[in-house]
Amino acid sequence: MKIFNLIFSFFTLFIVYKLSSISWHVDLGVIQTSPIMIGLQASSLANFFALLVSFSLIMISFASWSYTLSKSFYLLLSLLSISLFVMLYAEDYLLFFIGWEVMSISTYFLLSNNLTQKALHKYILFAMLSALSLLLALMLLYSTSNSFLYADAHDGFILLEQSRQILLGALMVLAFFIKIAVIGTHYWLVDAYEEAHDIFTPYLSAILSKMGIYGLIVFLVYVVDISSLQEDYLSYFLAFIGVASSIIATFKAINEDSIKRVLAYSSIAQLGYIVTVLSLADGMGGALYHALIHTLVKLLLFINIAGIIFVTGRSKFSTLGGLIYKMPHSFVMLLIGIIVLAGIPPLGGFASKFLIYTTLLDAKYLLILSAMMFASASAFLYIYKLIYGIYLGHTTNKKLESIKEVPFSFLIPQYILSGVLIGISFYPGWLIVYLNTILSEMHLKALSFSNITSITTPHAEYNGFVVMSAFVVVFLVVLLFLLRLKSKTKEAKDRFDIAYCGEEPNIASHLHYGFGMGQELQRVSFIALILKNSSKYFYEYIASQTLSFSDVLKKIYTGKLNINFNLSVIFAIILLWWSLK
Amino acid sequence: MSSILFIALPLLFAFCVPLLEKLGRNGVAYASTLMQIFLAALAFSFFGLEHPQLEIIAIAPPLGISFVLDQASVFFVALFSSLMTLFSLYYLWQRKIKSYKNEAKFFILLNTLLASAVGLVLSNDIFNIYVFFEIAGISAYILTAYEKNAKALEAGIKYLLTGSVASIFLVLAIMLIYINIGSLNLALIAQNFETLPYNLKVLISLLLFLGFGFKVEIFPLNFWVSDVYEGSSTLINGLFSAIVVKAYLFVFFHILYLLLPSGEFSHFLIYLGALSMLVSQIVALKQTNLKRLFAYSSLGQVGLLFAAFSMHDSDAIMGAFFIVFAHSIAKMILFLSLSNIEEHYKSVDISILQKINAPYLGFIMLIAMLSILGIPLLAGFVGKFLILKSMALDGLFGAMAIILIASLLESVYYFKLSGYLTQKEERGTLLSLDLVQKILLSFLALLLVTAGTAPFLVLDFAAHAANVMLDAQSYIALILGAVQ
Repeated sequence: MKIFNLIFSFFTLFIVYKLSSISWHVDLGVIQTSPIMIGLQASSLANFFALLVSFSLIMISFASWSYTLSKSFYLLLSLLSISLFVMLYAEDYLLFFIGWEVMSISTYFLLSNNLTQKALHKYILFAMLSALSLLLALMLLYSTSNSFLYADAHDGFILLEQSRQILLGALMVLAFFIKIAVIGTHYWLVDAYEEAHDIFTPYLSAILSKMGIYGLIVFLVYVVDISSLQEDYLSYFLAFIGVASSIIATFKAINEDSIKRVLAYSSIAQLGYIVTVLSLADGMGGALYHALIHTLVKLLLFINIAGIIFVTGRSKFSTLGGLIYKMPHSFVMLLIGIIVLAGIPPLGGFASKFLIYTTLLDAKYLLILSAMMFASASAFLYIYKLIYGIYLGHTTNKKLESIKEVPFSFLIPQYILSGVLIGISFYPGWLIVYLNTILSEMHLKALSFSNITSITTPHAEYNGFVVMSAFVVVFLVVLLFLLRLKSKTKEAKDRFDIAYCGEEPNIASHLHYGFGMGQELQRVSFIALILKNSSKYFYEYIASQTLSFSDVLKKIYTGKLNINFNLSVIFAIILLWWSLK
Repeated sequence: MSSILFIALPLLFAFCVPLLEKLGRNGVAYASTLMQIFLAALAFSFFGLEHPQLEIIAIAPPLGISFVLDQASVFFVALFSSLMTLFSLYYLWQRKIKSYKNEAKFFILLNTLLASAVGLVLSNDIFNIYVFFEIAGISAYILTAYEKNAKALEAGIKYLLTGSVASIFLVLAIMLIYINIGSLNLALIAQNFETLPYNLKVLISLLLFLGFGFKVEIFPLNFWVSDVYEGSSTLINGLFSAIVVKAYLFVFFHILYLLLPSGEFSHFLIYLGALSMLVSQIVALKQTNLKRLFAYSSLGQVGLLFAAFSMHDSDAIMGAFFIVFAHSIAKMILFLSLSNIEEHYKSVDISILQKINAPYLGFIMLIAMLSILGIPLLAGFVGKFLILKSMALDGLFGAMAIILIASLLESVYYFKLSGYLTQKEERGTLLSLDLVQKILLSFLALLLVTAGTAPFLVLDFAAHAANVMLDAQSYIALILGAVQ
């Protein structure tokens, strides 16, 4: 079954290749009143996302080699990938919706083995809410355009009344926000990411959340027409909610102890940047660039974490630490990953942030820009936690001292991913060329391109090749220096060998210097406000209200015939009074 | 001499049971099943039907009895007879673990139920409809109370009381119609109904609505349903949900399309259906008894059907046909499986699904649940989609929103059940199904998947059937043509 899965994952590449030139239409026009055209139509945008899907699937198939997974897991994973292709290449909202629902349901069954009852229920209810609001939205669109095709969507949208346009926008945005897990609708996500199978979490974060982005892009481009969006309230709304999502999720991440929860919040924050920049027509390039970088880096990080959990069986920062000498390869991979995630030079994460910042600057969204920079800087706090909590400091447990490097199956995808990321860092301009073909197909302004090694904007030029080369040289020098230094330092015997400690530690004391780091931020009132409040209370309130309403309505069905017949008589009298004139 | 067979054969069989009983315990069961297989096959042979068939018994329509088999009714007849066949087949194997006392009587009731359900669909005069209305009712009352324990008897009496109230309204309506129009033939009534004074029309419509309202389980009049489902045995619930209520629904809307072809009260009925769906899904949220839970789910689906049929729109009716098909099959699967679970684990509490150890049964039940929820690639989605689509074209966004909210609530409890089924739990002893039962259940599930993935295979037929059902004029012309 593992072999089948690996073959299938490579086969998806072939599927993408075949689909990348597809143009297939069919008319479900037996229904006499209104023909329904559906079809699959290749577009550069769909190709871009389909490549991401296929690539991620291959990476995950490699990493899954060390696990024993059930047959149904692999079958559902294949079904999920196929539904994604249907969704991506759909040329109409009907097929898109079918793909969307099948995606949600197959994800549900993939999660169902690992999640607790509550987390699973939360996931599926949000997924259903997303699907049903999408359904209502596309029915609204259908009522005027009389077609589900993207091509007719904009005409239909214009024909709608103002209030219905707003309703349509709200429903669509809600549907996609739930999948992206923008803050406020992220209630399902963190538990699902944490409890999902370690090999499935990368897929959730790298691919499924991107499908929300894809849906949002389709909505903004084909329905609303993104080039008319600037100065519109929808634009402000997206920009605001995206950046709020980044800030809040960043602070929530800092406070978490579970590695996967930190990365889950990090996902929310990163996708917040994308949502923000999608509020502008010129931001599409930056959004796609960031989507690509985020897919690669989240695959890298989650596979890295999966390896650590596989080897140590621990998933909390407070129970890990000091793994650097045990797992040097994993350490380097994680280091590359977090540099990309932080969005600092020299690695590719900076290029996408550079594009995003420039777009916001050009659009004069200065407050949004500064808020985003604030979020981006605060992200260092949790990003640093990833590396010190796991790899640096003392080992927190005797058992951790005897472990070895993660199996090769985890390292292969990490090597590939970090290789790709480093390649992009050397040649950031190469992606610009590719993205420009997508942008021109969507009739959007192309990104400016000077040469393959750099990214050019009206304000500045960032030459990735030069920065990377300089960095590599400096890195090598420092590394040699450190290696020489290391041989001279005295190694501690074990974690209780603390020469300068005033008191004697016992087995239960937390000696890792990073223990509890981030907790102190709770004393900052602004952050405490974010941490204390949660959309959880809102959703639980709604649930409890619905259930008590259910209790009230249940009284009709208690089976007391005398009361019920009286009710029926009243109902009949009302009907009679209402209909007789 | 064809459409009458669907009614006459089961009725005749019911009368012959005392004779067949001489053949032994199995004689009645096998004979009944064989006859039902024949009926199902016969029904499918009518699927290619080009023109409606009018069957006259002894005297021509205005006075005598006549039956009309057209493309809409053939769908229901085929559905009912094949589901009843599957039920009987399933029961033949279920007898090893659960058999009813006095089985011959049980088969009499099954056959009268089938005959009356088909009779409701085929009848062309309102008095015959009343007769079948009563026969179906009486069979259902007895089936409800069949087990003769306290709960079953209570449920049976409740069912009997509400059924009698319903038939009082129906008789009053028929009386008024006969006094004012002088005929009981549906076509003649339809032709002359326009000429009646407005208030009389409203009164008759209201009486008909109340009479059928109890039986089609619409919101304020459906208080008895959950008790009846809880009291009667689980196998029987499958029949109630899959056959009985669908027959009443068809005949109610058949009469409605004939009497009020321009859709006078359609908005009211649509919103009533949507409200009915919403209320029952809300009530279902806190149910812990699976039988009651499925009963509320049935009410919800019937509410949706009610709203769809009230649309007076062929697309919506087409969608309703899909939902009738999908829901009947899905509920049949759920109740048949539940009866096995009940016999094996002795409980129908929802928590029992955490303990059952039956991967195959669980899988089939999941398909049925997802189909009821309207998940794509299953038959339920096609129906829901078609209904919502025509609602969108009519601008009924309020009703759509209610239906979608109700669907969300529906998914709350169905996904709770599916979570119980799929998650790793401490499972009890293995529940093994008979091979034949497995085949039957898989066949039903396969039907749901096929109709969901390849709806275009049946879309053509469904569109035609919907048009036929909606077309009051040619129906009247067909029958009046026979009069002259």
